[in-house]
Amino acid sequence: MITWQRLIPSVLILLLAACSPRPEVHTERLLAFGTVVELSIYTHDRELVREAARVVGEDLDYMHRAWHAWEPGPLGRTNQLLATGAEFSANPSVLPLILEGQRLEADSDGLFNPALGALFALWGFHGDEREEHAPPDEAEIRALLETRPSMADIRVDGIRMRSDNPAVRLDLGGFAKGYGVDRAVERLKELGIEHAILNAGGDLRAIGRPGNRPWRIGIRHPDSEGVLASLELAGDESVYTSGDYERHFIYAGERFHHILDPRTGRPAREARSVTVIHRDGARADAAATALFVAGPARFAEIAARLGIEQAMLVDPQGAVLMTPAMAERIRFEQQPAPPVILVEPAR
Amino acid sequence: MVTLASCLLYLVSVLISTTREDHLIAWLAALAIAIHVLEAALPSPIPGVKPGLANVITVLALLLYGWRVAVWVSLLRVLAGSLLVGSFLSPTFLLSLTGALASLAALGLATAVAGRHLSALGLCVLAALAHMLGQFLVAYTLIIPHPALLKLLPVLLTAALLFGLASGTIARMMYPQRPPAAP
Amino acid sequence: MTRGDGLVVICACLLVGLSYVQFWGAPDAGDASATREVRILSGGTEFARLPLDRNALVEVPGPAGITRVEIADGAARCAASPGSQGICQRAGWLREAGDMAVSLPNRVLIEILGETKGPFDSINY
Repeated sequence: MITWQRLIPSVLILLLAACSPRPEVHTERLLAFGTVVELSIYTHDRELVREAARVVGEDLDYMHRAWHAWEPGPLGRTNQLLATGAEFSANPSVLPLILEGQRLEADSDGLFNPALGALFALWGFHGDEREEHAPPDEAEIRALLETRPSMADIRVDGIRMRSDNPAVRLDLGGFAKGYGVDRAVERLKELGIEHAILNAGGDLRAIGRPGNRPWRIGIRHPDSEGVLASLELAGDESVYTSGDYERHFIYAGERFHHILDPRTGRPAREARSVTVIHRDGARADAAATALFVAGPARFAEIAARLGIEQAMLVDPQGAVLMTPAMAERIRFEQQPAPPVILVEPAR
Repeated sequence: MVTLASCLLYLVSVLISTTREDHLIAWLAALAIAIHVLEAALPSPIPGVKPGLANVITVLALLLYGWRVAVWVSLLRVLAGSLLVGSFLSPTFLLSLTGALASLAALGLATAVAGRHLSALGLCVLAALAHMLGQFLVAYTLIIPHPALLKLLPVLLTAALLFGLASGTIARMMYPQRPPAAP
Repeated sequence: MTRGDGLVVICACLLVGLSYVQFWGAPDAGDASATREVRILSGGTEFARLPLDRNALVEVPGPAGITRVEIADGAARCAASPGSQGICQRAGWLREAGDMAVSLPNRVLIEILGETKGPFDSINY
């Protein structure tokens, strides 16, 4: 009797393994957070993927509305109140992002500045799509930069806050997506999902692994739809890329992209794209932007300040600058491989 | 061992109680337990999910002595049987109990609705299918919620149908009349 | 055997037969063997799911206007969309599993269903 009791379950497991649908990577696409979101889950339960996509889509849409820089909502209201200079109670959905934004601005030595919403508006990067139009006057940009908006101008005391500088206008676009993806991945884990990639408009966080291999990620070439390099992920990591090809407009033959240098008020010119691997998606998101602005000259310093160990920058000539930890993981998918310069993060 | 246990159960019941019905229940339960224990040794693709051969005793109890006795025999069988096999309060016990309750429910319903039109054969087939469906539902929802399990259901139902027909034929040979009035 | 028994046995046989059809039956659509399908998402919900082997013209309403989806010769495309840059139309004819066209201003996503067999699980850009 006892032998049967022991034998039958093992026979059963063998039988189930033999006839069950093998777990596979199932992918669902949806529109959320103002972009295409792709959720890939390694499971045998297709229905679970649909359900998870629905839940994640709702969560991301909620966050997108709360943190939208130019549509009415909690962040829009916060911007109005910051402009008055008076003290007010912070909106709980916005407060953690403001605190995170303050840390990120300080750590990036001001190269990542979410208080510069007015500058993005001036360039017309607010709005889902823009017509071809002239870039703003140099004088307008100068005047705006002289108001020196900074996250440090926002005084936070518990849940009360006010701004010392009426020019502060928050635009969390540089890391809100990362923050949102992080929250959504936490939600996936709560749903019992262990092996998944959540890719929102190209930026992603991956957890677990699909079976006995790691996740394989392709990193887009800044010049084409092709894949520049690949890397393998296992565990829990985020991969974020900022590229000059993402949001841009062309005027009189010149291309103007959305990664603005807070020092000049103009699109940063020292990089084509920056890719960052870090556990925390919000920090990876901001770091990709900050390192893009930093360019090769301050790459090592800003990476060290932000605590980023794995980062890669493609410069305007197509050469690749990266940290040794990144170089260990990157495999170039194009022949010939671009010239590589290794830089250790250091202040 | 089985016989010994059955006799013990009978003795205990004789010692404690005095009514004729109690003796009846004990004898029938002892018989059912013997089948239950034998069945426990049968291999099954899902552990604990059994064809429910002991239902034949439940059906006979129902036909001979009515609904009350059938319920007693069935529940006693599950309780004592699982104690003997050593599966008391284990998932297997839960499955046995589910099977017994499902077949009792089906039998109760069938005799209430169409008692006069059914013989032991129909009742046994009904009991067997209800037994299997109940067990499968519990096994699938509580114990192994794996979609591959669903592929086994047709096979299990076929087995239940065949066992139901076989035990029903035997039961009809033993008791060819129709059941008494509804419970 | 009584007439009731007969009825029970017939019903039981039917039940068993049905269980075979239900659980061992042909795999459902969406598998590789089935014809490809195009799925059109509008906002957060599925607007339509259509087979690629039947020509069709679908008008998908969205916040910015109407996106026209054309299905012809086993492929689908975004024939017209309110976006000013024509990003949706530029995706061209969608044929292979995973191909897609998106109109963000009109919140419309057109994708060919099926498991993609590319070398990467996800693309970072």
